[in-house]
Amino acid sequence: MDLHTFTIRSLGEGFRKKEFSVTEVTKYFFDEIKKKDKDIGSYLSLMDEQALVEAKYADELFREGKASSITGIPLAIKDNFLIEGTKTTAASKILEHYVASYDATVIRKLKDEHVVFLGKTNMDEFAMGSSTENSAFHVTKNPYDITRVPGGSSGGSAAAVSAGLAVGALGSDTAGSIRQPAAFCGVVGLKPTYGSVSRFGLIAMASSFDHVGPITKTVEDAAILYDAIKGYDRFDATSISGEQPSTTEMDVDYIKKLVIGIPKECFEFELEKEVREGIEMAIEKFKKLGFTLKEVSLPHIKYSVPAYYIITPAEVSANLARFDGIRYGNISDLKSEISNLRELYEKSRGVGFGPETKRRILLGTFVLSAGYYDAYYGKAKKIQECIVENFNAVFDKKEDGVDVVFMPTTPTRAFKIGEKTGDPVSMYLSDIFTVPTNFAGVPSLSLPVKKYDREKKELPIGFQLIGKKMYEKDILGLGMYYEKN
Amino acid sequence: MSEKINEKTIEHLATLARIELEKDAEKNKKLHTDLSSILNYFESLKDVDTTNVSPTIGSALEKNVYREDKEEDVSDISLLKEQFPKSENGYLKTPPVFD
Repeated sequence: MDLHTFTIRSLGEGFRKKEFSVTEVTKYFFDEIKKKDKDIGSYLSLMDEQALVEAKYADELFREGKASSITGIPLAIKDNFLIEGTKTTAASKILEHYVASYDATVIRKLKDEHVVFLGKTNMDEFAMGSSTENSAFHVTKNPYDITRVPGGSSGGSAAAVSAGLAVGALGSDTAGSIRQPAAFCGVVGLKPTYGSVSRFGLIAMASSFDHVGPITKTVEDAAILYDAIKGYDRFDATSISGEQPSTTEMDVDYIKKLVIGIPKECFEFELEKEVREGIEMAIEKFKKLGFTLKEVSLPHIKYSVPAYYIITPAEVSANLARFDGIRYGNISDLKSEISNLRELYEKSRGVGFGPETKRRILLGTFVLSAGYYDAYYGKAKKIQECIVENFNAVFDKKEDGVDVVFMPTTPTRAFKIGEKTGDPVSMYLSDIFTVPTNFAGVPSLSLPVKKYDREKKELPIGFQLIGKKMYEKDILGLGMYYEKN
Repeated sequence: MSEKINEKTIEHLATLARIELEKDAEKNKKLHTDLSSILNYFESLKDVDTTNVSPTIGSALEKNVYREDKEEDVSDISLLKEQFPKSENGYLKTPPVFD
């Protein structure tokens, strides 16, 4: 049974045709993980016991003809999603012993369809980082070249899918944390419209930019998983109400009419030679497929990264105030005697948070302090508005706007482990093409330029298709069309 | 702006954020260098004229969200209580607020 190449779609068909059972497939994946994950390090913890119970139940559903399109699909879950009764660490020492007391809404939705959770994947601590090197537990390696990073912060999820250690995964994306690792690992990642997928039960980092989305092998799979997790949730105050149409059916006539805009600013940034070539290849392919492409302008995107690193730390400093060494379990290696509550807070947070988390909390505390608020936070929120306006203008049909914006996902291919850890600003710059859409709340899909050959040690390159708010069907449809032609 | 942060400021911020800094002078120097370089990086924002721009409020919804202010049954909270490091006779226990 070579399940390595299976997708959500094809695995589901195999289950229905009784080619293999969910239990067999689940066992296959745990065998694969045992064999291969010591080299990759994509998982932080495995859920083998629960998975086999769930697999049995899913097999029952197939026998009774009650299974859905994702029943029995083995998925990996980033370790910042709460699964009741399961350890959830966000790759932080401060949550080393935390066991989630409830299910995230997306987890609940997937449980209702009886998917199989294989385990929790590695990430940058509290999703802060672009390489998964900020995990308090271990470094995850890129399946295409184990001397390189898988990207981050959803690096474990992307690496697991890329290495065939899960068929799909959930990730979270605050500045590109789904799309950048997807690009580095040669898989597909979707950051949906802000408000289309609930964040209830996702450990919050920067709430105004946090998004939940799928990481999969194909665009079609991303659409299937997105359809399964989207929808209004009263427990997330930013959730958008109303019916959301299915995105899995590709309407070719509609897709072919979409006008694609290419921001001229993308080529003003320093792009690695291979990335530039890959991006040009993708543009050529769209031209050959007969699409209308036109140059557009997003003049403020170059300011998105510095503005992001003001607004996000500000939110981080508030969101992470809840981690006090009490409510979410204690720190085991707190050696000295604690005499009062304040000392417990300071020591727990001092030992429990890693360097990047501390940097951001301190930075956030600084930019929000009296006297600096206007110069930093106030200014950054205005820059955000400029970027929102940039996207509004580009998509404005009255002004001859486009339907979809095309952009590279990252300025470079996967970099070497350790290459950027010494210099936070250079690490932050890997988010240059992904941050703008988190500012504007518009959906963005990252997909590989082509199929990459692991044997030849080729490093994958991804590009983004960015759509109007709630127009996931445009970017997913266009992505499916690109992928199938 | 880069002069606005020195090691003393960092100590103050750490106190406000309830984080005990490391005892290692090298590591704290690195923290200072990192924070200074990040703050320098923000300088480019000064180039943008934002005189007539209002800051972004919310990213998707233009309306506020309300719900009834009424009591609701929540799921079993025993798992939540188990996370507490110490408890006694059903009460959750922390170190004293004052020495």
